[in-house]
Amino acid sequence: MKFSMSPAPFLRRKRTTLAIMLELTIALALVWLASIIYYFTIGTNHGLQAILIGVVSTVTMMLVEFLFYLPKCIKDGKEAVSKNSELNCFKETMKAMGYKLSHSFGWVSGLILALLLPVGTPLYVVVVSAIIAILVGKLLFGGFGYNIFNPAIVGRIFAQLCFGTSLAYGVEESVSDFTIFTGATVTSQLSNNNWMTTGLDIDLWKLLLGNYQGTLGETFTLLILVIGVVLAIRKVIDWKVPVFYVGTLYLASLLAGFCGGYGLGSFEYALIQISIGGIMFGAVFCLTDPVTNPTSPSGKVIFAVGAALFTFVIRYFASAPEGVAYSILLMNMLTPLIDRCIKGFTTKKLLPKWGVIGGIMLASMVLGVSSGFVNHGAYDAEYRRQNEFSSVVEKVEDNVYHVEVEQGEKGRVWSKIEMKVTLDMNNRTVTKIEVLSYGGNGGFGDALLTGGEIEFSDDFAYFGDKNKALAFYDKYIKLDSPLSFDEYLTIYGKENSIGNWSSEAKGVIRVGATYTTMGFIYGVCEVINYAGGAQ
Amino acid sequence: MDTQKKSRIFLNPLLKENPILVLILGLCPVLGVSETIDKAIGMGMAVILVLFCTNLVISLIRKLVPNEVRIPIYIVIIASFVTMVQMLMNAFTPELAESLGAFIPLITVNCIILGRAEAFASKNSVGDSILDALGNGFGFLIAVFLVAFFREFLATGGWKLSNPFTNSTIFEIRPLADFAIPLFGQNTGAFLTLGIIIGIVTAIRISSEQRKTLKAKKEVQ
Repeated sequence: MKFSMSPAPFLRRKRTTLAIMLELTIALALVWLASIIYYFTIGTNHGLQAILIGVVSTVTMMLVEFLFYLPKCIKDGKEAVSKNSELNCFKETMKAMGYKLSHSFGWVSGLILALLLPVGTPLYVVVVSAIIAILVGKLLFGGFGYNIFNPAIVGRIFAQLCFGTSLAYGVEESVSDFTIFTGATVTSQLSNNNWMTTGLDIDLWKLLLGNYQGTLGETFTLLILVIGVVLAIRKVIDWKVPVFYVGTLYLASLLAGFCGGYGLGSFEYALIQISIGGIMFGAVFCLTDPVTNPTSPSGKVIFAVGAALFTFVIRYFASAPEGVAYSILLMNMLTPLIDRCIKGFTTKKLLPKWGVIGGIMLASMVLGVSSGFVNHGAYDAEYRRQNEFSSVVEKVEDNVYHVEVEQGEKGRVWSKIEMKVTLDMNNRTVTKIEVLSYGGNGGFGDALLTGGEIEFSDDFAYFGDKNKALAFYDKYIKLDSPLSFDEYLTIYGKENSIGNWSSEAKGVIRVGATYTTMGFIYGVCEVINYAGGAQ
Repeated sequence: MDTQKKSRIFLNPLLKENPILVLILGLCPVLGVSETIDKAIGMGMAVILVLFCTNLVISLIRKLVPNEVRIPIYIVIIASFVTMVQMLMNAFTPELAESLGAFIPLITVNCIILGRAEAFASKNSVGDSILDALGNGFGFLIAVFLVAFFREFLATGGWKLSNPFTNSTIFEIRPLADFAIPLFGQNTGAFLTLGIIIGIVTAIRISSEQRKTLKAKKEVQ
């Protein structure tokens, strides 16, 4: 008896690989379409860029495949002609090429790669990453079915390593008109905040609807979720991989939330953690790639749980804010090992199988608990650093006070504000605020210093409420009309730490440069207290 | 017949039996110094010089060396010449010597040099040994230059060639400096470039061999 070996994926159903891949393509195209529409609502050039990245990435990959297979297809064409001289050589070559290309699925990798890149990516970066992805990630290993790594992830990581700065620059450039917010993604914001959501304005619905900054395809979590469910029902992807991957991450984040002191809010905290960044997109479109997955069902579970563990470690304990891509590559590398270990395990040997899965999950949970404690501690220290203010008030002349506000722990000043405040003690109002110096850099602070208008671009709608910010500025600092002491004191809450400010007050001042505005309010309140205006 | 054999000793290691691209010997310096063509040429010349001297001396003393202690003797000879080359480079091309750093002393343990001493110079006449040294040295130079050529272009968008003795720039063109891929200046890029070049060379070699066997078959028929 002779066994013949055909490349992965091994299918037991009647549908061909081509049909399944076409369904996957439609799903990817839907995500792409959604992101194009979203970026068109931000700006026409962003929308066009979103279209171009997808087209360039896909076309480059197909072109590289075409060139790679050209010699072989010409040979096939010549052979066919030598067997049957009536055939046209060119036609036969194209026929062979058509077969090769339609069974290599370069466009799927192309679309995934495009959706993994941010909208500000320069096009030559897309081209180079696509070439490396398809050539090094797939064709050199022998084409579709023989690749060890997910080609799109190879391209994405290549782009990250090579053009990390220009990628980040690209992102910032695309939103460079921002006066207040920088172009940080939610993930990097969270990473800087020690993975604590307190103090950041993160709205779960905004995350689910993709209304935040990230790569093209990863943001619209809800759509990806729906598509994932449909694909799983249609058996295009294996439900076990995304479910176990996201499930493990959710549980670990839940524990991290509990240990970070969120109480019942941990459920929301964990939901936020799995909605940001590439977790959902990676789970549905990248991890489930049938070629780079283990073949057995329990192998797939080990694969998914292991990827979750790596993602968790990289996210919470390493310096890289995104761990999804690296974890997928790491697990792809371990796929042959998993396959080999699982091979021959029958139902009698369930214990070792579930032992491995349980062990990895347990490790994730332990990491979740420890990251909760560690990050909470680190966050507390950072929080104190940012939220402790001290001031020196001097009386310059009647009703005019000079105040210096220092923000930060003693000895480690973060920023410094100097201003002159004029009070009207009879009406209990602040009549004039003159900012003398401001320790921040650019943007909000500059406008305050020069007394000029803060220029908000339309892109501000991307992150914050422009009108709210302008209204805040006009009302509290520019002082369109004298403002009563009580207005300031309500926000201030008579406490020397912003952490104790009421949530309502925080809502008023959360317009962008949160800590800067807090410093201003604090300084004015100190003046009022000094002058005896507080009762 | 004799000249044909002699030319084969020199020409074979250049491409057909290239120590780097075909025999995959002594890859460490190729990966390490192929960042720029300047460094590649400097390293290639140093290797040619050391290989020439060691092959010459080892071939001269081949009948005096007892078989049991031949390796230590070869190493001592190689190390002496490497030290000389290093001192010469420090004296006349200080910048180049500094940029090559540890890779000059490491020539001592380069597989190509010990390999040629052991496999060729210890068994062949002085003239053949010199030809073999030149062939392998230039083979190394060709390979390391090839890798550096692509790496420098990809990593910086162009090439720069300077005179190592005066450290003045002979020419510098960087037409694609804006589209540089810095990763190719690092180790990852070295492995990628060398791997792809070896792959292409192997593919060409195999196809040419197949063609030759086909031709031979036809001639037989």
